[in-house]
Amino acid sequence: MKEFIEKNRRFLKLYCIATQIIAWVLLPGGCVWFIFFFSGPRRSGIFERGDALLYALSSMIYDFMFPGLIALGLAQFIRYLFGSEHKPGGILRHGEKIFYMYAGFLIVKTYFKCFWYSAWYAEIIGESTFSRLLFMQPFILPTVAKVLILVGLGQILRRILPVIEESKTLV
Amino acid sequence: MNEFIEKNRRLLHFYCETLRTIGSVILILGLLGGCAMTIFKLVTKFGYWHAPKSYEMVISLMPLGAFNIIFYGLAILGLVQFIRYLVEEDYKPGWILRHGDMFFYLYALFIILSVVWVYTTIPGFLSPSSYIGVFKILMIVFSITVRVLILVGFGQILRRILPVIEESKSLV
Repeated sequence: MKEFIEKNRRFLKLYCIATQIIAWVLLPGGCVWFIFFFSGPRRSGIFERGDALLYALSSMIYDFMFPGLIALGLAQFIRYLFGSEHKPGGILRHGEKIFYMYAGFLIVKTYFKCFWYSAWYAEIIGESTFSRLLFMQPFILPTVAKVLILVGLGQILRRILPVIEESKTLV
Repeated sequence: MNEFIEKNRRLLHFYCETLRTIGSVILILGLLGGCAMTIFKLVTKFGYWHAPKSYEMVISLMPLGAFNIIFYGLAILGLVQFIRYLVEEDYKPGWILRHGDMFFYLYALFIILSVVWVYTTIPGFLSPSSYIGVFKILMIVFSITVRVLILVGFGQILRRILPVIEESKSLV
């Protein structure tokens, strides 16, 4: 691995810097995007619609905040894995909590999505709302998958840091 | 860590088995869904059945969801193999784990292609008519770029971390 690091040091450094810059743009940018979503004359009264609020909140978290935090954590992880002197940063040390919190948010979001959108899905193919149970599958299946992946990543992160630390001390 | 594994061996085993079952179900459903969507699209294309005009856009985007689910299923199965490789002494990495970096790169490519597909399917979805429009486009580009970077990073880490775990095991 040492040889790989020596060969790719510049690439890894560039990768970490690019990831960090974009992540730091995304984090405040997501908040500004959220404000813009509700700005403008056509948007007045949108706060009264729960589904629009959920969409904006979920977009802000899923599209901007969560990828931003993951990217920062990833840059810290790569530095920690490849650098001999680096210590894990704050985001990396609390990375598992970020995964669990996002998994919790996904469960809440899916509950509300089932509540609001299943009737709309049923309407698409002209079925009665009685058949809405059928349309829970497209909501629940991806959520179960995402939650399991997030919990698994959290568990792995918790166990892998001591393994890397051990590997470094032995070298 | 060994102490933790010894204490929680049954729990970890149960977690892995559950995860593997659910991952397999998700993968099979994703594959079935992908085939069904493709047939559905072909049927609508050749005129046997027409979706209502207003819903054509939603229906045209559905296959993307099915392919996403296939990747989720693969990711869960890979995760199970990784956890087992990390905590079990004699476990060797499975096929998905050994080719995990390839899956990450493929998924990154899929994200780029699906974004292109979405924005060509929905006309006028992004209109840079004002500074807010330009800002939104920039944010979406950054969001996609960071996702692709995250996936490439995961691929790189996976490729390097397996020898570290192997080394750690052989030393124990």
